[in-house]
Amino acid sequence: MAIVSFFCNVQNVWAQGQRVTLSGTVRDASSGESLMGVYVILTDTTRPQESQGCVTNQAGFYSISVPRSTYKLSVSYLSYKTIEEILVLDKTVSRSFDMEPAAIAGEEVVIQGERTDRNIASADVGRMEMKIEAIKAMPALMGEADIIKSIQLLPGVMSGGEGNSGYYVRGGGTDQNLVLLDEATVYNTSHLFGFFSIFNADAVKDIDMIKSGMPAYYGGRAASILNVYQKEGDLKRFGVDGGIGLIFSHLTVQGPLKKNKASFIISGRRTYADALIQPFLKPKSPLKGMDFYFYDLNAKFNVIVNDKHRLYFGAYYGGDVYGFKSSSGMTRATFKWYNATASARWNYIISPKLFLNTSATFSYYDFNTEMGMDVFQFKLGSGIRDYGLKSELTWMPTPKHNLRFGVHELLHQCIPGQYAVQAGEGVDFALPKVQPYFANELSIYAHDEFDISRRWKLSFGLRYTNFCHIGAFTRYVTDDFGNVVDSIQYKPGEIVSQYNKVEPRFSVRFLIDSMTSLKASATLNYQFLHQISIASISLPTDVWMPSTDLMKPQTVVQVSLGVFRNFYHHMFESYVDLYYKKMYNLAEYRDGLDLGAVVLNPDQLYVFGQGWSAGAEFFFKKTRGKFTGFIGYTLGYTRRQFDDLNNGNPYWAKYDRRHDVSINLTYEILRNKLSVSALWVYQTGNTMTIPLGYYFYMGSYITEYSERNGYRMPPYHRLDLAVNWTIKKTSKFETGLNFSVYNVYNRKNPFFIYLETHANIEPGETNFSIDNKAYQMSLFPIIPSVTWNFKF
Amino acid sequence: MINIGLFEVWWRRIRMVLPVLVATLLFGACETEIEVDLPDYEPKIVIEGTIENGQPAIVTLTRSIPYFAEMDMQYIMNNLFIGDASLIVTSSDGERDSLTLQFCPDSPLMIAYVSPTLRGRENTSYTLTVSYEGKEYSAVTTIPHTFDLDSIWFSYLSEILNKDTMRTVRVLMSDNGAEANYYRFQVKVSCPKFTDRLWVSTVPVAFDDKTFNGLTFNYELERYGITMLHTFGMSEAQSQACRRLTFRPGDTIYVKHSLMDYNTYRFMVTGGTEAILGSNPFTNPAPVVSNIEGENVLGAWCGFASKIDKIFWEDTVGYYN
Repeated sequence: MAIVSFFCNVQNVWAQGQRVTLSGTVRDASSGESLMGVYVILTDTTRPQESQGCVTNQAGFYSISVPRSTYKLSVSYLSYKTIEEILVLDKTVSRSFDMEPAAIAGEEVVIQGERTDRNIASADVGRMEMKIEAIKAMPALMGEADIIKSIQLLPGVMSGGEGNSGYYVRGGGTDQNLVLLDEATVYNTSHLFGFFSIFNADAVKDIDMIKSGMPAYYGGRAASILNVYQKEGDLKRFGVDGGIGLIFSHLTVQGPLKKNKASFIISGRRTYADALIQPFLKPKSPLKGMDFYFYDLNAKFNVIVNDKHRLYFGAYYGGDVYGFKSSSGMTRATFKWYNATASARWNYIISPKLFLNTSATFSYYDFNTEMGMDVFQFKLGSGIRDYGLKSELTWMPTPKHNLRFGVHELLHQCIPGQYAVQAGEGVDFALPKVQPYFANELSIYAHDEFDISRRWKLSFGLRYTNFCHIGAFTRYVTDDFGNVVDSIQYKPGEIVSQYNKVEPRFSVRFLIDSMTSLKASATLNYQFLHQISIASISLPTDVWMPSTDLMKPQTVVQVSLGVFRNFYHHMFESYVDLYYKKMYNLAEYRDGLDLGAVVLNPDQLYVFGQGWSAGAEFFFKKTRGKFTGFIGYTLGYTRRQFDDLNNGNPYWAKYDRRHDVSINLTYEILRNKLSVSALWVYQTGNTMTIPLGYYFYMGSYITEYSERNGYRMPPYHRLDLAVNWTIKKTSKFETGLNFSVYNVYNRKNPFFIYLETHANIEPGETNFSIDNKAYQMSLFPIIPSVTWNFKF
Repeated sequence: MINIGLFEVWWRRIRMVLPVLVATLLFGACETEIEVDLPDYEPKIVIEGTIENGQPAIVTLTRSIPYFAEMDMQYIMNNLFIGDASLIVTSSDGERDSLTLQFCPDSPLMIAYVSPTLRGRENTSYTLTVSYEGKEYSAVTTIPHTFDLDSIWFSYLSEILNKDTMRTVRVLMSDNGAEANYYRFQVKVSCPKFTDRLWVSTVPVAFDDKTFNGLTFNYELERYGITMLHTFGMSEAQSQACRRLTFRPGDTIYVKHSLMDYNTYRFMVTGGTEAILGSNPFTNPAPVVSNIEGENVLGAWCGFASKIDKIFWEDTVGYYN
């Protein structure tokens, strides 16, 4: 019905012939970078009650078609000086705007009138944006602003545990989150075993997250999309900014390659804790003489070919290297993992109403470990490579429609695990070679945002995907006991299995008034990649696998209903969002795997089940003034059921959290000079499987456990404080200090609980006792830190 | 093939504690003892039954113990043993025997139900039936055939260790590619310092032939899973000498090599791994797979086809402790 209505509407527009189009790009006046999410609003001066507007896309492009008339133009964006002027639109006009940052302009940001805010007006029921400036102002571990940790504060987003950069959205697994860096998939977002994320806040321009009502132009993941856009580089002048912290430092250089035409930005970070602590380590320390660091490098080039064409080239490369050895030197291990993404993007403004975005992407993740014990060497490697090509047209035929349709091709190469063993003197033991999995994922999609009336807005689309697991591949055929009795060979490129899936996406907004709206969404998502984790925390050892004949695509149905309400000229934003989610074809490792399983295909080691989650999210935010911040609360329930786990009985998911609270408050003591911020988080404890009893067998002590995840750990909570002091700030130079205190009241939060058996027996005595005790491991005590930041 | 068990132990332990190690070194992580409020627990009957070729059926009946119960010799005397059950073993070729409770030095607790006349035979199945407090529990196991080692010898550790005084034992064996085989190795040491009363496990506790089906391979043995029952009654010096992975000059080492059926293997892999390696706080522990039918019952009824070989390390360098 909606589609019929849309085409009728488009025909009407063509018939009118009276409309003109205002289009162009919006940029930052100081750096020339394009600005995404800027409101461009036209108000007819003869009918002031009628306004039409749009929001700039990721290239800063906007387009509005309106009847010929005289309009009051308003271009507004948070933290920028609003542009207002009178425009006589009697013909189609291309017009770009340079917005001046409010802080440099030295003016208060004023939001005028009863403008409907995006959180109220959009039909994106589950989209959340965080400004990088807000993230930098938050208290942070070791003073390092962390995008993933900030995302974890949002309602519905659960952290993966103390200091862990894995996150869980509305009961989904960590693998159900698509993380995009300039459109390229990031497969591992963690540094230092998850204590820091790979995103360098200095190199990031914008982030936004979608956790429900996912538009059809996003696919491949079932729970959420995290979009991270790198800065493009200053088109007007060279600049350097950086920070020196206790564990690592970062430096960013940017500037024009050709003024106002081409620019670059290069940003890097590296830890030096290894170098600093080496002199203080005891000779027998497991870190003595070992590598122990991480680093990353972001780069982006941006070329404005002409008014219609623009090119972007972005890349990320980061690595972690950690080594340990025992005091005797007999056992040693090194862990290395590397992430890389590269993307090339071509933006083409075909016409004032038609915008083309074409990109080629490459993603790389590689994990390697080498362990040595005595003369033996054991090597394990895994990884994934993605090669992608995407082309998308954005068509804005009228202000009522914003159509996006495109095609996305992805070639996956998953390497679930390569083993090698050496026993000295070049003697190799040939463990079975684990073959890589190749898969091709081709999607086409169309999505429209349709303003039916002032009150009703629809966002709907369809996504079709053909997913093929392709050769070369050998499928092992096993008997009932897991013994390989036959094999089937597939040639390179030959289809092993394939899936054709259609994903409908639908969300609707009903505007009660300019300050209140109701939103609902219903989506079906298929996910063709699975991340299999043997641990209950997200670790770089987790492997990625494609869907195969044995491993069906993850399927998630989600419905969501929310009421959004702003107060006091949109100074306060709030919402309550209810959701229900059903998940199918979730994968876990089979219980009790033994060594012989390495001869099987990796996907023969998994079992499959389903899950449910439901919850209510509450959010309240103050956006302006000296005192800003937000309060988020989530009430959530998440269950799993696998026929082959927990005797087939349903159980609480590992990260089932009944209550999750985040409170972030910032007070600006001296405007643009001195601010303090506080962050308090509270989370219901994780579930775990705990011993209930024990018995003796073969003279050994065997533990009998509760049902899976049948025990809940104590709750997690902590308070962080930060002071941001801008010592000096001019248009050419800026320097400041960040003081952070993590876990102010030194709460000993449970990272994990373990139970230990103490057998008390005196040699020569026949009496003895067994004493079982529970211990809690806590990671981070109170941690103060200071970081010096500079920019010139 | 090498003994992957060493890596299994080490990898399992180090992989998951890495974040803790990092946090401890960089941030000062700490551990504290806590009170854990567990749900009520009703003890279950534990059946530990074995039958080997040429040996009687030996079954120990005990009860499981609530995790935080005060456990000492008095508890064992009052609550652990079950001595008033009725046990019957029948073989696939019709032999039947009622087991009697008696002193049994080969069982871990030295008291067990033993079949007076029935002895295990290769390629024969045995059914155990236990009747206790009006409930019945039963299980079937098969003793497959025995196998011979091609050779057995001492293997040097690296120069990092003192290779003159510490060695492991290696065995060469040929797998029958026409059948699925499930192996188990155990060792006993007799030396001037001590003599093992019980067999000591190697790691993996049990393994199948999927990775070397039909091949000749060599396998390394160390001593794992030495429990307080292994050292029960020993002096401190004997206890310390007993708790070692490797072998020393003066050792006489008995190597028991066994084959078992699939269900016994599943129990040995899950239960044995849990017993020797323990679980990891970051992983969900794998449930122990029992082959016994009945309610609220733990343990297994295991048949083994076993042979024992012996190797002696002549003490030419003086006993190393």
